[in-house]
Formats: sequence, structure tokens, C-alpha cells
Amino acid sequence: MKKIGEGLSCSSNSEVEGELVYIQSVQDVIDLFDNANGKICIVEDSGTTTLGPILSELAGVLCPIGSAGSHLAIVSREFEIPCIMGVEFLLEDLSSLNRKKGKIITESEAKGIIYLLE
Amino acid sequence: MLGDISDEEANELIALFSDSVLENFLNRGMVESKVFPVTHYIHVACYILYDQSYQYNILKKVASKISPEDIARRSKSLGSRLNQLSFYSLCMLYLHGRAQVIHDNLSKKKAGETNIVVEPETKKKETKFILDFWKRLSPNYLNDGQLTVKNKKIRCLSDDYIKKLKDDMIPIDDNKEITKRLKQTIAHLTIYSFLSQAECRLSISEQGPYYFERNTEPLIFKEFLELHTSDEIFGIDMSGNMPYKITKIAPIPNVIFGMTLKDMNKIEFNDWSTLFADPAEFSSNITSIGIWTRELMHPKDLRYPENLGDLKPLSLNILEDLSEFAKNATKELYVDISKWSFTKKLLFGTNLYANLLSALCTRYAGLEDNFNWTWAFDIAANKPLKTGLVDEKRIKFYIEKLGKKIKSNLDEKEVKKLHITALEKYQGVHPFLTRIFRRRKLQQIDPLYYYLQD
Repeated sequence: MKKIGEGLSCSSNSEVEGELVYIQSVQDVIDLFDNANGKICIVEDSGTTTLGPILSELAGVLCPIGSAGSHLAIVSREFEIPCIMGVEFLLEDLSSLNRKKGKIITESEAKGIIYLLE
Repeated sequence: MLGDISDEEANELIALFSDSVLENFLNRGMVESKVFPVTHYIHVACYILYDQSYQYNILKKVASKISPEDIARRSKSLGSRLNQLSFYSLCMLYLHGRAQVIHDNLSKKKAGETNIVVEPETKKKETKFILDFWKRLSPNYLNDGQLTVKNKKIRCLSDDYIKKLKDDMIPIDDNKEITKRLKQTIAHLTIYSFLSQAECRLSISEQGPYYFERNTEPLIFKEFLELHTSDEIFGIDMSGNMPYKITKIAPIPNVIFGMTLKDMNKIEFNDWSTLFADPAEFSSNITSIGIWTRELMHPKDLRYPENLGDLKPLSLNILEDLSEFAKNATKELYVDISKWSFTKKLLFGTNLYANLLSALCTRYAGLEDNFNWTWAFDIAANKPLKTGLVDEKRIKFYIEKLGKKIKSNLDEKEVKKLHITALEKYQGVHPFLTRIFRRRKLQQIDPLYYYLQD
């Protein structure tokens, strides 16, 4: 298990595992309409519209910007989906994470760690 | 006469408003999405409101029929489309546009252009009118008579009004199943509301805390003001011009959720009607809920002060219907919008920010039919405009100018490099925004939204 980033845990404290998907376009979201279940999406927008249609089905959300007050964090909280905002990733090419298995662990009330499962 | 205020008073209001906006901005951050060019369209709309005197020309007509004080008093209810967020935004978006133009003019002057009048007398007059209009809204809407949300409470309802709602509240102490249903419905409606309004926040409002007689549990409200039931956008008939279609319409045109809460450490609101609560996840703190919808009536026909028609209480069964509507509509809209051109997306957002608040005010004045509200969609569809109040060429100029990312003054010395980098990321950002990140001392002598200029 390799640590790939950490940020502010803004939702349920539960641990979760899932397939990582780096969302770069609206089409990436449409492609997940029928199979979003169990995915952990990485998205660079802290608003709710980008992930909107699939958000309730996701296993987790990771966002490199934003905070607990961001719309994305607020709505993820309502769906009880683990959501880490302001994630500092320890790698540059986020697309290299696509289709790999990841794990979110909430260490303290506010700190979320993201691991790559090998 | 409305707008007849001194330079000193205008400057005081500008400074007060600048401080307030600054505080709200710094607690929030920029909103962008892959779906809409949010920053870009907000700045285009702000140019239109100020540079084309669009808001002044409409509100001047409104003021000849109804006073801002009366607009505010009539809005003191639940489910009103005009509320603290709209009153605040009405002034903020105008001053934002004014700051963009002043910044442009100062930059031109700095670059050596001659004959630049940074703020002409006619514009000063218009600005005084808007400031005077605004200063009569919130004090007549908020129960504490304040201009801005100073005590972190948004309360506009009377004790009698609140008392009447008590019988409609359903106790749900420790019922996790109901709170889960409620939370998920609110989440689905939030996603739908942001998407259908191009990320614009004006269709979602929160207010409170209120207290029932001899009850120490605070009552808060969350309102979803614009669910799609017909070809209308905020009450303005868009038949033949609706930019999108939703196959399965909403069961009700709006919904208001009331919740009483126990053991809360913090319940605070800001001028954008956003709730800041501790604990942030407060579903286990909910002791009772109420659900209502407001019948759609035309504000100009309504009685004062019990205005805007009656609220109709709803049963918990509406939650599933609302979730179903929001989920389906979100997916349908998302696919539809993904096929829109950049210009259409941009002008859809521009329409909301430039038209919505003025259009709502004209409804109170009974003047909405005197104006054309479809010009943004007409520009997007290359159709001739049916209004002389906006200049199409100028609008295209703003879009292009902002699209090129104006970098002229992004090297302001007082601006932290970090923030410049963050702002440069966003398409359509105006460099005046870097003024947000100046030192506190500088903000005090030169407010975010500039004092009146010579």
C-alpha cells in the first residue's frame, strides 16, 4: 500500500476502497453514467456540476482544491460519501492512476490519506 | 429622490460593501466547473450591468412604479425569489462591473492613453442610484434593519409567521431513515439546481435561525426556488426560447425545508445565504422537519404584508418524487448541455446574472412585459435582438476581451503571487479581482470596489 496524497477529510469518516478515475472532461462523466458504482473520482472542480449526475453512486471523491465549505464537499456529505478536499498528491500525472485501486483512510477527524493498493 | 445621495455617502456605502464582499469572498474561493465557464460569464454579465447601464435603465423604471422599500417588505416570506442573497447580489454584481470598467480605464491611463475619463459624471449618477436603491432593500427585509448580514443571522419572518408553521412540522427525533431520505433529496436538488442555473446560486437560499415560542431549538430553512415545471426561468415566460427541455417535470415548482436542530455549536449565515454549521454534518441533530411549497402567484397582485400567497404543507412522500425528478433531470440536462457550444453556455450564464434580478424587480412593478429577456439566447442563436437596451457588439467584445485573459495589471505589487497563479487558471477572469488579495491596510484606504473617481 503506497501513500499517494493527503488532504482535508470533509465527509463521513469511514474507510473506502475503489477504482480510481481521473475526471478530465464532461465526457468522462457521461461514460460513467452506467458504471459509477464503487469508483473514487479525482476532479479538479470544487463545484457540484462536473460530477453531479454520478456523485450519489461514487465510493469517494478527491479534489486538489477547495475546502469543507465547497459545494462538492457539502453535497458529498449529504450523500455520506468520503470526500477529501485540498488534496496534495505526491505524483504529478494523475491520469496514471486511472483504473488502479485506491483506498481512502480518515486518520483524524480532519485528515484524509489516499493510498494506492498494489 | 432616489439616487440623490452625496459623494460622501456613496463612498461610505462603497467602502462598507467592499469590506463585506471581501470577507465573503475570502471565506469561499472561486467556483469553476468543466460544464460552465463560470468566472467568464459572471464578468461578462457584470460589464453589461454597468457599462451598458442595463441595470440602471431597468431599475429606474421599476422605481417609478414601486419603491425598493416595498419590494423588500413584500419579499418577507418563505420561498420568495427576491431575498437577502438577491438584494446583496443586485448591488455586488453592479459594483463588480463598475470596478472592472474603472480598472480598465485606470490601466489605459497608466499606459499613456489620453482623454480617458475614469468615471464620467453620468456613471457616478447611476452608481449613486444603484447604491441608494440597494440601501433601502435589506434594512426593510431583515428583521434587524441591517444593510448586510452583520450578526450572522438571516431573519426576515415575523414571530406570527413562524408560529403558523409549527403545526406543519413533523417530529423525527432519532429517525435515521427519515433524515437519510431528507439529506439525499436535498443533495439531489442541490445538484440539479446548480446545473440548471449554470452554477448560479440564486435558486437556493437558506435562512434562520428562528425560534418557536418557548422553544430553544433553532429552526432553519433551506429553499429550492426554481424547479422546472414549465418554460419559465424565474417566472419569466421563455416559451419558444427555452434553452433546454426537461422531459419529466418537477412535481412542484419550489420546495422549502424547515428543520429544528438540537445541540448545535454554531449556526451562522453569510450575505450569500449560505449556512455555516457546527457540526457541519447535522442530520443526527434534526428534531423535526417541515416541507412546504409556495403556490406561484404574481407578486404584483398580492396583498401586503401577508404576501406571495400561502405555503402548502407537504408530506414526507414528496421526498422520493423530488429525488426522482432531480436525478433524471440532472442526467438529461447534463447530456444536453454537453452538446452546447461554448458561446451558448457562456450566454446562458450571462443571462442569469444580467437579467434575473432586474427581471424579478420588474415583476413586482408589473413591468416585466415591457422588457425583452431573451437577448442572450438570441445572441447565442445568431438571431436579431428585440431590445435596444444591450449592444450585441459590445457583449461580443467583452467575451473576447475576457477570453484572452486580461493580464495587464496582474503584477500588482501587493498581490500575493499564489493568488495570481490561481486566478490565471480561470478563463475569463478580470484582473481587478486581484484587489481582493491586497493587504488589509490598503483595502481600508482604497476599497475593493473603488471610491468615486474623477
